[in-house]
Amino acid sequence: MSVKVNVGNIAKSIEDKIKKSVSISVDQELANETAEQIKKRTQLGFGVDDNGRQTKLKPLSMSYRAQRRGEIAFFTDESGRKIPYIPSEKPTLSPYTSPAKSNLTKTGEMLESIKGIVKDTSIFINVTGKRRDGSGLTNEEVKEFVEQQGREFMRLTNGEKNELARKLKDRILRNLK
Amino acid sequence: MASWQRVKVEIPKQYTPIERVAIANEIIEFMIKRTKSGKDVNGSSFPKYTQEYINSKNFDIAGKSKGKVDLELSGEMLNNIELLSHGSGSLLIGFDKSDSELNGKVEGNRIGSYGGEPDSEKARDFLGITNDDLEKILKKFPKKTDQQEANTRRKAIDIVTSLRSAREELDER
Repeated sequence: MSVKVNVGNIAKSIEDKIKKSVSISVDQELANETAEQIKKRTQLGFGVDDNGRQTKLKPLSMSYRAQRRGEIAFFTDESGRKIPYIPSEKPTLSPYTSPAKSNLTKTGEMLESIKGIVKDTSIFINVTGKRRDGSGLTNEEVKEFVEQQGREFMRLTNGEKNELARKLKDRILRNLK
Repeated sequence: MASWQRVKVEIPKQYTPIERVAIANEIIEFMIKRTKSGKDVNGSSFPKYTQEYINSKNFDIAGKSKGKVDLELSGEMLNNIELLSHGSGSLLIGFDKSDSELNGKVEGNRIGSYGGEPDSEKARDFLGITNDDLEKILKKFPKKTDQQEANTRRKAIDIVTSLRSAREELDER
């Protein structure tokens, strides 16, 4: 008689249990926290590069800074030309920005609209809804525009992935007990 | 040019590779938790933030309070502490060598230079662990009896597999 214990099978069985536990570990609280983290990082002025590193968002142009200070504004004439003029009022900026700060915040509307939702074992995070500024644009369209300008923010940094993995690990271990 | 920021942690040689990864994970989480509580490697309180930093917009955006020095703005620095390598009896914990900006930020905090000259009065060293704290973590991974050894192995597999599964889920996206 001999006894054979296959450690490989034990590890496989644990792995299977953990995979099952992942589905109940991904919840709305985690989605909300992740959405909030993206919003905070962006408001601080950081985007994410292609290697998952946190990087400073591209600086604002001098012309746009002047617009944010209320020194100049533009209107588009019938031929599509942009005509400058001196506005009578300064634009109202969010308290979380300043004229020279590059943090994808003017009124704060786009970042405020970031929401996380859970579907099965996935968390989806994106901007939501229409603009309240009468432009007829959606926040998604504004996001696409700023990303085309080289300000990528709707991603997770390597550090954010590490943090999320640790939170998930704690939940998975709790659910395994 | 900042130097590569890492620490070598000596542990008993009896641990298997998967146990070393699990122990490293516990050490990293301990360092992060200790830093968030405002304590340095030796358990001393970090030097206070400067008034200039407290008055900054980013201080407000991050929702920080002036009395709580936790080295967290976006959280990216602490969340990038990782196990760099391990071998029999030792762990190398620190930051990705190729990320010079991050290493510079970490060095600035650890030696109090913040882009200038080193200043021990301003230093906030958060990378490392005392022997007493390490002992407490290693007690969670006992190996004196066969049963303890089996439990430690099982625990290590749980921790490492959970983390790996979580990270795989994230990397797929």
